[in-house]
Amino acid sequence: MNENKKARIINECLEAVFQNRQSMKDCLERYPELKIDLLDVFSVSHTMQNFQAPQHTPDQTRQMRNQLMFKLSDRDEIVTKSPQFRYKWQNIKRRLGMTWVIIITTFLSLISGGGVVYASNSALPGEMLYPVKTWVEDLQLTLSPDAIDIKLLENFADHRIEELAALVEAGELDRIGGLIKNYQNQSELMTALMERIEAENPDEAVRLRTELNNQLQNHARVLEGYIKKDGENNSLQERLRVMLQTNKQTQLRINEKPVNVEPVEPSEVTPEITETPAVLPESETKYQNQNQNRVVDLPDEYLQDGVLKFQFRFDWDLVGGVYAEVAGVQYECLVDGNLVTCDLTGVPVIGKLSLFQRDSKLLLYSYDYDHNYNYLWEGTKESGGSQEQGNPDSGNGSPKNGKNGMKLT
Amino acid sequence: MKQRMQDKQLVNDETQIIQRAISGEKQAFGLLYEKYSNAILRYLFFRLASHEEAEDMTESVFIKAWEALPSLKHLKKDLNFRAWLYRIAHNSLVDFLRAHKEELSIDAIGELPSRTLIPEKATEQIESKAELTSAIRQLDEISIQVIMNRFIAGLDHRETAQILGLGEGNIRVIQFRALKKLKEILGDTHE
Repeated sequence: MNENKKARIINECLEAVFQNRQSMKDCLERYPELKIDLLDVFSVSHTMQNFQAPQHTPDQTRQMRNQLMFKLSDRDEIVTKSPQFRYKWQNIKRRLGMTWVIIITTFLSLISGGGVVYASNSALPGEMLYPVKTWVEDLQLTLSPDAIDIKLLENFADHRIEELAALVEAGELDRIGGLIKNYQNQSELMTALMERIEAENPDEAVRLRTELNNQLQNHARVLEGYIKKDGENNSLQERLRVMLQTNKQTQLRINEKPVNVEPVEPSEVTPEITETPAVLPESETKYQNQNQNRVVDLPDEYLQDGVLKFQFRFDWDLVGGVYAEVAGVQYECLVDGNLVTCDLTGVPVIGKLSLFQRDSKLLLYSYDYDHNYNYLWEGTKESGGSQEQGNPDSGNGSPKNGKNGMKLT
Repeated sequence: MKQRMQDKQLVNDETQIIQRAISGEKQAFGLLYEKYSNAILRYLFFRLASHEEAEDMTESVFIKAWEALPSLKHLKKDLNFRAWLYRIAHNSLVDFLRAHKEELSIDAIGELPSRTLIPEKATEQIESKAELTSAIRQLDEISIQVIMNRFIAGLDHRETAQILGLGEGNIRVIQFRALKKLKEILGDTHE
C-alpha cells in the first residue's frame, strides 16, 4: 500500500473516530494491516487534542472584547478628513507648531524605520495601509503653507486618479467609493485654497491656476476615457461621472475671480423676478460667483398644474439626486441629464434659493429671487390659458396654463 | 438586555454577523471576537513563550481582521471566516517567530503562569506544553503548521489546506508522517 493511500485511510479513520461516527475498534477491525500505524496516530493525536491551553471565562472574554472595541478604527477614517476638519487643523497647527508632528514622525520612524509610511505609498483603498497613506497626506497638508498645499493637493489628486485606474483595471469597483469622497474633499480644499491665495498673492494665483487647469483637464480626459471604455457598466459609469462632475466644478471654481463689491442697503436692490440682483450683500458674493458658467441660462420658473416649478439647465449632465433649499427648507428636484426641475410650491415670496447635490451636499447653484405673485398671476392671464381664482399672495393659486407650464420671464 | 438577547439570536447566523462587521458595525465584530478569541488564543499560546504574548497577539489578530474585513466583500461568498481568521493568526505568528528567532528557546516555552489558570492545573499544563512543544519542535516547519492547524486549532483538512496554500492530499500525508514522527519522539508515555 502506498503512503498516499495509507495516509488517506488513516485520516478517514481519525476523522470518523473524532466525530463519533466510528469507534477505534471498528477501524482496527476494518484495516488490520494498518493496526500499528493506526494505534500510533490515535495515541499522539489524542494527546494533542487534550492539550490544555488557557481559556478566558465568558466574563473575561466580554471584558477583553470591550477593550478591543476602543482600539478598532472607524471605517470612515480611510477617507481624507472633510475640509472643515482640515481647516480646524490649520487653525491649531499655527499654535502647536511642529512639536506634535515631530513626536509622531519620530515615533513612526522608530517603530517602523519609515517602512510603513513608505510601503503605504502604493496602497489602494480597502488595503490595510491605505489609512496610513491618507493620514500622511493630511499630515503633509497640515504642515505646509498654502502655496505648497496646492502643489500637494495636485499630487494627491494624481494619486486618486492612479488609484482609480488600478482599481478599475483590477475590477475592484466596490472600493472606489472612498476614493471619490477623497477626491471631492481634496478638490474642495483646492478651491478654497485658491480663493485664499488669490486674495493674498494674485500673481502666484495666476501661475497656480494655469498648472491646476492643465492637471484637471488631464484628469478629465482620463475619466472620460474610462467612461467611454466601460460603457456597459452602469455602476462604474455613475461613479466616474461623479468624479468628472467634481473635476469640472473644480475647474470652474478655480477660474472664478472674486468680485469686490460694496455692500448696499437691501432697499436699494430692485426686485426682479428672474434676474439676479446687480449687487449683493458681501456675504452672498461668494455664492453668486460660484454660479458663473454653471447654469447655461437663468432658471425658468413656471406653474404647471398648480405647482410652482423652477427649472435649471446645467452645462453638464448631473449624477445623483439634487435638492433645493430655501430658508432652511428642502425641496425635491428631479434630475434628467443636465436638466433639474424643482417643485418649489410654498416657497417664500423673497429668498435665496440654493441647489445642492444630495450625496455630497455640494453647492451647485445659488441665487436670490423675489417673486411678485401678482406678476405671476398676470403672466398666467397673459398666457391666454384657463384662469383659476386664487390668492395670489399665498402662492397657492393654481392657474392652469398649457401643457408645458407658464414661464414667467 | 434586549439587545443582548437579539445578539444571541444572531450568533447562529454567522454570515449575517460577518456582513454586519464588514459594513463597519463594531458590535457585530465583537460577537465574532467572543466566538473565536479563545480558539485563536489557544492556537497562538501553543507557539509563544507566555500567555501574555498570546493574549497580545490574539488582540492584534482581531485588529488586523477588522481592518482587512472590507476586503472580504470582494471574495467569494462561501469564504470560511474561521479559516480566514486562522490564516491571519498564522501569518502573525510566522512574522513574530521570524522576528524573534534568536530570543525564543524551548526553556522559555514552558514559562507560564497564566493568570486565568486554576493553580493546581498550572503545573500539569506547563509539563504538558513543554513536553509536547519540545517534541513538535523537532518536526519541520510545515509539519508543525499542519499539526497545529489540525489538532490545536481543530481545523479540518480543507481549512488547513486553505491556510497553508497546499492541497488536501498533501496535508493528509504531511499529517500522517508528522504523527508517526511524534510517536517516535514521545515514545510509550503517550500510549
